[in-house]
Amino acid sequence: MRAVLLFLFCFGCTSTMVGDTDEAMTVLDDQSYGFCHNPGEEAEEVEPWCSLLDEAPVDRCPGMRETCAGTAEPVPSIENNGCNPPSSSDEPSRELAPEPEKPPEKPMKCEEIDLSALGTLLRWVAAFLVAALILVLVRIIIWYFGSRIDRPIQHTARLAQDEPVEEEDDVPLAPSEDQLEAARRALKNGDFGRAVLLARGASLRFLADEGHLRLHRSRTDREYVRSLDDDETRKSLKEVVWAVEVYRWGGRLLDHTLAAGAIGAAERIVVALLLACIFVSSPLALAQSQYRYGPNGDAGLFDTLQAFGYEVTWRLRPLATIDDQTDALILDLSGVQPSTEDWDALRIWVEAGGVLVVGGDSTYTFPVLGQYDPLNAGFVAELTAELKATHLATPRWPDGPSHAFSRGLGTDWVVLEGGVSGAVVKVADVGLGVVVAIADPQLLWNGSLVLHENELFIGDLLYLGQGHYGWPLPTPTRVQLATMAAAQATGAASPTQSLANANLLPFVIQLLFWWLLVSFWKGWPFGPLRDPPVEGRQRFADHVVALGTRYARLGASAHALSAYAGFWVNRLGTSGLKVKAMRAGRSKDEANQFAAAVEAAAKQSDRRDNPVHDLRLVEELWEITRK
Amino acid sequence: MEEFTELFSRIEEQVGRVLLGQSNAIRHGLVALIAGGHILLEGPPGIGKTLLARTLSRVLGVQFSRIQFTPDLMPSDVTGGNVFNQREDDFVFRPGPIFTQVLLADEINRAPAKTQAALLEAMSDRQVTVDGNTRILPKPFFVMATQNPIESEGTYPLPEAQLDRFMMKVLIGHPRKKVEVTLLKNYLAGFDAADLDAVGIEEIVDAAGIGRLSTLARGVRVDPEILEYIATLVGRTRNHPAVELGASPRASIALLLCAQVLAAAEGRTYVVPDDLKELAHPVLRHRFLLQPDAELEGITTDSVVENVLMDVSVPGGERA
Repeated sequence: MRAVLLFLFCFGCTSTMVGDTDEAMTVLDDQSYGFCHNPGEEAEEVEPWCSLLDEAPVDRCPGMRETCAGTAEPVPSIENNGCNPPSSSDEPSRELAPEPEKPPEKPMKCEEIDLSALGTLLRWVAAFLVAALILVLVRIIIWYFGSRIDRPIQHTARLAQDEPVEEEDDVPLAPSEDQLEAARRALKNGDFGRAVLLARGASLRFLADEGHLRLHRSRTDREYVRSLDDDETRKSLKEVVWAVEVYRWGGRLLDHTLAAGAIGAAERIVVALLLACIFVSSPLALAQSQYRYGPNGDAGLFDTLQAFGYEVTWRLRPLATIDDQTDALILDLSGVQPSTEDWDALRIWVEAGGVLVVGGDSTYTFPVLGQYDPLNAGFVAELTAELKATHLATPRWPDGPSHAFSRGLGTDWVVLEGGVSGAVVKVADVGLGVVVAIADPQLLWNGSLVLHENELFIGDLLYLGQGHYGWPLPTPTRVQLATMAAAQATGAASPTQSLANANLLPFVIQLLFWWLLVSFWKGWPFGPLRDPPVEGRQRFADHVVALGTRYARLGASAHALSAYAGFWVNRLGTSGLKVKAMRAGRSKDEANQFAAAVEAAAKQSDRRDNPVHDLRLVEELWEITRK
Repeated sequence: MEEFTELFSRIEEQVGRVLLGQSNAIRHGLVALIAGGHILLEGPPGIGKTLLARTLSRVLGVQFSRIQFTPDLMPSDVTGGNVFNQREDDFVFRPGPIFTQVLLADEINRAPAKTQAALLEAMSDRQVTVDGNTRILPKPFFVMATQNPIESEGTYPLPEAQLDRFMMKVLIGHPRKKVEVTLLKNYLAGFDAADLDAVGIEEIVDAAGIGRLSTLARGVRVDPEILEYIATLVGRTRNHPAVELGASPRASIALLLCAQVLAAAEGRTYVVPDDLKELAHPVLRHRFLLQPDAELEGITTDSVVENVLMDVSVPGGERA
């Protein structure tokens, strides 16, 4: 068992180590990323692309710039086996440069068996094992120390054999509304007794379900009344309880007035508390309707897109790991700040066919969008003439959009325009994909989505693009939301990375280390009961003798005898002790002597001699009294 | 029943004017008296046990006597005895202090068993036999016995069989500070516990009135389920693992009678389970014996009673 567990521990540690070799392939490993960033890479193919760099910001694709400038050492390219699409029809065929010493070859995606899922699964399994080990460790510690605490004997009442098992409480389990309805029916039928009992059940069940009462079979109705905090509810329940008492204990026949009063009181309890719940929650409810799903509106966006039939998930993993499992990404730059790495990955993903809907200023990464300028307050945005003919709704901002993209209107597709060269929502083709840029990210927020037009706009936008403009989106479209809520999650590529992000990994490793240390020292689980070695046993015995001698010197035996004797003198009295002694077989004289000795011992607790005598008397007293 | 409630509350109020902060003891004492039983008061010295008895007897308009039990007290000191009268040349019976209506038996555990037995016989039979002659005690006859829980030196604890004769055992503690301040203010204003006349205590009822109250209380309805509840509660004390000897049927009877009085005091013509829950502790706490190991662990009879109350289902609901 120990060996198995140690093996699992080692396996778990090993397999959960975060290593570069086990990390999933990301876009950074992609060939196109290397083409852009690594100087000299794909030098033979770079020439047609160099002209594009003139338009791009100077810090874009530094590697490619060096290659175009001719200052970089050409890096031999990896053989193209047909997996990567050809770059152009008139491109000269590539000749492979000789590879003197190449680094470990990265497996081609198309040829290799995709084991990343298995790796992820193994990591999850390892993480679960680690968690299970920690839990077992904690459990063992609690058991080990807990078992050494002396607990008093718990006396529990035994039920007599002929009594049935009692249920927890005697209030019917049926919902309070049903009971109330049944009570009204009983009242109508003239069964007043049943009516008040049902009214009682409805009231108590409702109050218990709402957490105002704790029902128990040993509690009386009056105790329930007394335990209520609210005066009005207490008054109403009192009325119900009184009617029940009159019927159940008073043996009186109820009249219609009394029964109706009880039902009315029960109704007041149910309705009043329901209203209280509504009123208490209504400011929140109003807030909910105004902001519907919370101050940052992420859940509103989620629900809206889901309602429109998209497959929506939160983007919890880093943006840099985005892949073709995501068709469209909605990025709210007011809540998420992508790093350079993230932007690079996003660009690559878009170029490969992704649709990015970004709220905020993304012109840094996508300069094709133009300049990002603020607008005056009250600016009104409208659909372009072309789109007015479609079903797309015109979104609205209460105070007008805050920003717009000002350049490049001629070649890009504008969705929402306003004023002079102001494109509030703009679409730009980037590679095979599309960037839909919303200048004012508030359109993605909940406060905006309360307006039906905005909801429709966001929901229909992707469909419009897909259907009319050929955006590369499948049906259903897999949409991920990268908003503030998602950013607040500890996005990690693996469970161990998540642990590392939370800085818990050192803690977990320390815990496991100490567990290992203690288990080696004490054995698993912290030492089964073993006989100590002979030498240790002797030392223990000597210790006990020394302790006992010390007790004897302190007269502790006399004190113990005095307490024990006093107990029996109190219970039985002198005469009782005599009787007991005679019943135990002592003669009358012996019984008298015994009783006298016990009485004397009870009175004198400060003697310091004769522990042997004390022990003998204790034994005798024990023997006589247990008979 | 309004008459009962009114008289009961007036008696409580009158006694409460003198004995501050002991409303429970007054209430339970009154309940036991009307139910026809006796009570055992346990509390430290100086908290007003004697004053309670005296005030109660004054308010009820009945005779009051007090016996201070000591180790040398003889049975004849309690019951009285025949004394030779030289003039009449015959033995004349001199009644002892037991011939009264409210008797305060102070520190009953100080007297030897023979003397205790004499009193306890009188309590149960309402009569005294001296030299073969039986004499009936006056009605009502109510004994309020006291015990000091602290001193155990030179005491003769009442045997369990005798304790059972007390309808209730009421624990009295020290008053709260607020009450004690009021008490001191009263003394400053001239209150004298020895002179109840000066306080202006009214006599609310007389001996016949107490009999009438008892009769009224006996008319309070007790549902069969309540009777079952009483029997279940008392029965649970018999098979509780911490109990060596459970309560006897006398306990059930005591619970029933006291519950009726309590219900009447609250103006009801019927007993509810709450009455039994309120009375369970004073009625049951002295009626059963704990196992020695339970005693050594600090379990008390009150905790056993509490455990039983929490364990037994209260009647009165209807299942769906």
